[in-house]
Amino acid sequence: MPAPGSMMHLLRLTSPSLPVGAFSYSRGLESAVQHGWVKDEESARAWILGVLEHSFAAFDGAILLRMMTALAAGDVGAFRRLDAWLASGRESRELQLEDRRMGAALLQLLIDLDVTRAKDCSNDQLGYTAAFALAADHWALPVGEALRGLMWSMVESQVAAAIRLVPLGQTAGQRILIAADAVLERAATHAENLPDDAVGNAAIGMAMASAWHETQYSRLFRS
Amino acid sequence: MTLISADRSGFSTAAKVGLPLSFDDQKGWDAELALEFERSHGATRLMRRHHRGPLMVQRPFHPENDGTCHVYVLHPPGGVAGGDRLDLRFTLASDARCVLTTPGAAKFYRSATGASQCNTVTVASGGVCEYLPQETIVFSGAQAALETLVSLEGNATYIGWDIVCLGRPAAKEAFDSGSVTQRIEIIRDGRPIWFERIRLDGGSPMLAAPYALAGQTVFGTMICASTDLDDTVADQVRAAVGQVKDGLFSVSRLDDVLVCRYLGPQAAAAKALFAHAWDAMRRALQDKPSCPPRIWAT
Repeated sequence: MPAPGSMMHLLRLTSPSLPVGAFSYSRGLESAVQHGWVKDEESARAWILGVLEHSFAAFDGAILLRMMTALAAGDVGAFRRLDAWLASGRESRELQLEDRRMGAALLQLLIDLDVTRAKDCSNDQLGYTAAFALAADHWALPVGEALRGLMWSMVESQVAAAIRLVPLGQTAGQRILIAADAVLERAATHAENLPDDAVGNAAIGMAMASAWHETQYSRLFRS
Repeated sequence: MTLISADRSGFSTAAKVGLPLSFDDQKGWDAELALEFERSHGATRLMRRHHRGPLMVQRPFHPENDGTCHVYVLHPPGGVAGGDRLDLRFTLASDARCVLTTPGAAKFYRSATGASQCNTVTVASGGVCEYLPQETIVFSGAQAALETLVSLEGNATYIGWDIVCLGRPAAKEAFDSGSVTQRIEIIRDGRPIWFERIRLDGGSPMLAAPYALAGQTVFGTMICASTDLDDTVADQVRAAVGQVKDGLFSVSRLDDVLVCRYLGPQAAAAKALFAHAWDAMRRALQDKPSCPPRIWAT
């Protein structure tokens, strides 16, 4: 097994092969394409990286940091309160379901891998970010690396969705992922410096697209 | 009122609620309004009111058969300048029902210092609070903080909307500086069931980006927190709203809340759509139609 803190743990946790079904969710992207908001490489890049920087980093990212601090201090009560806060901020039914299903899948995986703290939470309904925090804590990943990993996995799965939906070529997908680097670093630094009362920033267009997806006629994705 | 902050360690903003107001009177105008409603003899009565500064209410009236109390909240200055703080608290005892609205738009003026409005709503079991104010216009250069903190007990219901207009497009004033932060938090029996914070800076790329405001200047969020939401509520609201011409509308039912959103060019369109949604929510959850305050028509 890789040593605690090894980058191998982060690569495994952020890999598309992690069995949590990330490939089946588009987070509103499918209906943004249907609506004409996302139609080419440029608009896909702006959508994905904009949501990452201005919404995801300021909420999931900022709360992941606080969860890892709570876990490091052994404060499971604070960890659960942070999870409840995050869960109450899901913008639509599908985003709520996506978070819950992916969270349950990752929690079960961690339980099956004998992660002690995951077993302690076996009766909880944790969101994905909370389950990710448990894993990162267990394998002793540095907090900053865990944050960047969580954000990277979000971008990676959004780009994979855009390749299918827009559609985009594989090279265009790679260009977005390359462009993600600078944005991700900026977003991570932002998340690391947010005071509590600045945590959270809903993306209204994305929230509406996700709500429309519930009644979209033809769908490839579950969100 | 520290109920919310006491339950969630992360919510430091809420901790400010209820602390002694600390603004320098030379710089800002603090206004406070606290209303307490109770059900008695078949109707909801405004039992206690407290106000300080320019916030007041007109005499309550009871236009509905079930004794629901309708109240107009007035802010005679009409505009909020830098340093001002409006603090509104509505408390409903068991089974009390009220509809709260305002006669006109709230305006946040251009200012070098922040101004805020904080609404704190507390509803005991069986109560229904419907908070349906006119829109808030945030002038370019304003620094507005808008908060609505709702605490529900048992099977209490909250229906509320917040409509924000950025800049004054009719006067060719784009929202190119300043900022607005809107925060809506709802807890039921101490558990958070809804949290939304939206921060928009004047001139920010988010104003044009499809994932955020998509180039529109008016956004609205309407929340219905009820323990009786079933799978058909969203469809009923969708059907009641029908085809949307001026702007975009969405509805989604989560576990604990139904959320409707508007994004478009017109506060009037947002209000009209939300009024239809309100009617559908009432028919589905309270077995009665909406009763639009007459002041909306003037």
